Amino acid sequence: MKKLLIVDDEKNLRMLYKTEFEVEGYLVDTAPDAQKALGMFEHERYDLVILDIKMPGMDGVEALGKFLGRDNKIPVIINSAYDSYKDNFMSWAADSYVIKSADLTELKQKVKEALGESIFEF
Amino acid sequence: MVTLIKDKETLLRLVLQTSSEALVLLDPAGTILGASLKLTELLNTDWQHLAGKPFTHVAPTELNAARLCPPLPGKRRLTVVDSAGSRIHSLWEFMPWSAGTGSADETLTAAYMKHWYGGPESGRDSFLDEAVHEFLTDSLPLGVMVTDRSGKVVLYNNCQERITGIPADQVLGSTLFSGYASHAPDEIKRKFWQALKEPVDMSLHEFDYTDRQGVTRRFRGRISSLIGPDGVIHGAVQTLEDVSRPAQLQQEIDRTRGFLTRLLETTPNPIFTTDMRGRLTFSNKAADEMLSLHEQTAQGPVTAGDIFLGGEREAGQIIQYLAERQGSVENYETYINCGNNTEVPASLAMSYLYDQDGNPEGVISIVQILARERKLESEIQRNEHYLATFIQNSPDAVIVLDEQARVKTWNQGAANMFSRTREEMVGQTLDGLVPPEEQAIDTSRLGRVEFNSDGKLKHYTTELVNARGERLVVEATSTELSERFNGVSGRLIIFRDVTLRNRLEEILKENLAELSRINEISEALLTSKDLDETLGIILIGVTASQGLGFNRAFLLLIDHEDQVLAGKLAIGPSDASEAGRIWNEIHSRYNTLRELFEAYKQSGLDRDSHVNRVVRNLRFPLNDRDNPLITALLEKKSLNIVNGVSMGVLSPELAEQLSSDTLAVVPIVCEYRSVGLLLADNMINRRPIDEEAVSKLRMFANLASQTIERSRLYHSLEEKIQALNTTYRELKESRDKLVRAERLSALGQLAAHVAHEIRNPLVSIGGFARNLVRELAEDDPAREKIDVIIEETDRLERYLNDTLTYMRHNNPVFRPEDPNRLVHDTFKMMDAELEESRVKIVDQLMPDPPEVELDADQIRQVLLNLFRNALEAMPGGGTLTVRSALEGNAFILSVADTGVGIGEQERDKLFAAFFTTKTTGSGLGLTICSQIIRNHRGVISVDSEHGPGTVFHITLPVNQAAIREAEHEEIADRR
Repeated sequence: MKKLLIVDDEKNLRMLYKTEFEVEGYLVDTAPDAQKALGMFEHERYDLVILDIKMPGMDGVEALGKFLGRDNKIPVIINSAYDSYKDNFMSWAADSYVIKSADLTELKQKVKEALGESIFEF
Repeated sequence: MVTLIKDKETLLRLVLQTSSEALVLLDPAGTILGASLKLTELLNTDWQHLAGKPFTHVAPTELNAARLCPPLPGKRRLTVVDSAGSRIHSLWEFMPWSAGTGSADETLTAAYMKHWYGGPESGRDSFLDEAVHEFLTDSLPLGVMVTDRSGKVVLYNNCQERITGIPADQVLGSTLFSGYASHAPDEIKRKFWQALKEPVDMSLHEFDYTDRQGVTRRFRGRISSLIGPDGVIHGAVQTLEDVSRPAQLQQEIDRTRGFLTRLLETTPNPIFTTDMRGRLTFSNKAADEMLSLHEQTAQGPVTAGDIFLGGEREAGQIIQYLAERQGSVENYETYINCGNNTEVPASLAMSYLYDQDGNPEGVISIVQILARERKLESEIQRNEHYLATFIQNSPDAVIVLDEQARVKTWNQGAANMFSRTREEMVGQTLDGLVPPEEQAIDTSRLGRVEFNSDGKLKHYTTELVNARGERLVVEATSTELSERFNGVSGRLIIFRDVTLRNRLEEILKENLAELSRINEISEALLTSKDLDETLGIILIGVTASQGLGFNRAFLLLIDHEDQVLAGKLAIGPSDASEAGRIWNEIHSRYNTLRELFEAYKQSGLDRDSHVNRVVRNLRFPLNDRDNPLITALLEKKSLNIVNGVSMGVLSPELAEQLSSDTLAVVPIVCEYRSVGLLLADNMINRRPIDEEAVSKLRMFANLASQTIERSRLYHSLEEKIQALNTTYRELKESRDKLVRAERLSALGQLAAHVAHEIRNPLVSIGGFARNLVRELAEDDPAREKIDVIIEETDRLERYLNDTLTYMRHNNPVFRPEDPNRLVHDTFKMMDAELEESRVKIVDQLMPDPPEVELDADQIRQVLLNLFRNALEAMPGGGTLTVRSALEGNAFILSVADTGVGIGEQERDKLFAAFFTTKTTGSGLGLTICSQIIRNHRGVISVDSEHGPGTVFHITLPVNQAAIREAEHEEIADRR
């Protein structure tokens, strides 16, 4: 069973993502900020990280670098309310850039793609 | 009778004895009856010896041709002889003589010997006697008075008469000192009476005598007794001379001598005299000092040879000079030996001194020491020379007139001015200088010039003529010359020739008139902006009589397109009759150029006139270098062509075209470039064109060029103003856009912030709603309510996406795309919506369109937006038509609906942000479309005028690189 690390400062969103992705059959850990997420990443092996960008303390772009610095094979999906970070070249290092939406279809699909379980509906 | 005869003899003897005349009495037979004492004394004989002898005894017949017997009355020359036989030439007068009342035979003849003269030293000379008597009485400059023994005056000569002032007839016969000269001094009286009693010889008396006129004079008298040969005193003689005059003379002489002596002694000029042998006879003080004579005389007599440096030889030469030059030599320059081995230069004036007989007896020499004099003299000479040079070389005529107004001095200036030499004019009056028709007036004028009572200079301008009859305008001044001016008396007249100045003044006046004319033309030109009108004004200026007065004027301009010099405009009559009519009309209607121009501006030129037809036919290729007009044009030179055909300057064809071969040609030069020609001629009146007219014409050509240049500048100015206006408008738009962009940016940041803040809760709400609905049973009544939540969060999320896309300033990423496929893809994305809408899609896209460089995502969004708008505009169904077309680099895509359409006011705001007519929607859709299309360097426009419905046109460049290049060029052009 794949294990996801979802980093978001919004408690409600962590709850939603945990619920939704567990339904999808993943093990889900969540972290409220990048610092804690990096700490968890030290002790636990994850198959994929979903990273919010705008967070108090270390932001997602910086955290992306740190995650990749520890494991450059780890798939990271940026999930942000902003699309403006798309242009930031650091975000190019991420596997996908998904704008937050109530409809989680796109995010779920990108996670599957990144984990090599593509089941493209179209 | 005897008694009578005896008495007669006695009477005769008495008569003959007492007569003072020399006479004889002759009887009719020529016998001498008796002779007077005077005659017997003359013939040195006596009465007795002559009586009874024939008259021929006295006047022998062999010496006298005249018949003397009988004696006839009359005058005759006879030679008589005395007792010694000496001849006496004499003049006799025979006249009948009657002693009383005797009978006829008693008639006698008296022969008087009137005048006579004998041989030399005979003492017989009646003329001399008479002269002596006459001298004594009339000419003797000594008063003589003789009395007889009784003191009765018997002789009283004229001189005595003059001295005493008493006429002779009052004195003769009266007794001295009783009836005459009773006031004489007692000494005189006493002496006189003494002289009558005892012999007195030359007793001398001087006395003052006051005559009847009250004039006192001094007399010197001498009184002598008259003692006869018998030793008896017969009377007394007194001589008298007026010595008052000689006394005065003596005083005068003494005074003059004193004066001369003082003069000689005090004069600074050394003066000395020498005798004819050169010996010094006199020297004045100055001469003594100069010659150191005190030392020299001590060494013996001084001679002229000692005085002159040249010695005796020079002294001899001087005497010779004097003899040659009538005894007078002046300015003889030499050196004078002053003793002590010093010499001084001197100028001498020398003259003979004459003795009483008028023979030269000496020489007087007056010395001028030049060492002192020379400087002064040379200065005077220099000044005189300056003055003379000044007068001679003065360009003014300097003329001196004598008192009769005749020329005395006539300098070179006068000679030059009047072309009359000094020799011609000296002694003449100035009448010859006065213009003939002004004789009377001008003489008085000339007079007025000189007559200035205070003798001051007076200017007067008048006209005179020179010898060639040319008129001169002269300024005259005249001055009275007084005697002290070196003996010149009369009037000094100076004429200054101001002819040229006057002429210049006239020219100046003419030029001023010229300028004002040009000014009028310039004014007319300035008030006109139309090129054709201004060129017309120039041609009028050339032809108007108040302007240059040419008959005709042509204007030719270069046509650069056709490379020809083409006739543009002309003015002038076609023939003499038309000329007369037009000129009369103009003359009667317009007084000034200004009026003419005003009239022209209102009515314009007659463009169909003969000359305008002529000028429009004039087209000369610019490469025809044989055409003199082209040469003048290209070389920018003026021509004054006179009889051009016969002179070989103009071709007959050209002359025929112009209908003239005598004309002036001037180039019109604009900024060093010929732009055309101005031609003018006098075809009608054939007046010759002089160089001045050509140069004036050139001036008009300059006006023309300025006008053309001005007009060109005016047009370019208008263009520039238009460009500026456009730029201004664009600038204003840009500024509006900028303001709008700034406002949007501020709003946008706020909106973005709000959007993101909203997005997270939306995701939670929407996410959990979807999570919930999945867990609900199909028929759960709560499902419908949760769907509402999902729907609404979706709507909000879409709204946020639109807003955020608008905020995003992403540059499009261009890739060649098939526009048709893009449209079809978009339709595909909208399948569900289209099915619901009951709208029919009409595809009129062009087949096989070129690939267009575009950002497919962005354009898809635009299309999506437009299609959705169209569907929303047709809620009850309709037709959506897509069309495409290609125009060069522009690909045009049109989206048309059959909906409600858009109002005009709304159309303007259609693309503005946050504008919407819909109840739902962000109001950003079309704004985003517009921005995307702009980023693609394309245009989006809306057309909603024709009928219901709306058409959006999107124009996109097929090739982005090409349009970018074009933009760069445009920017570069603007700069």
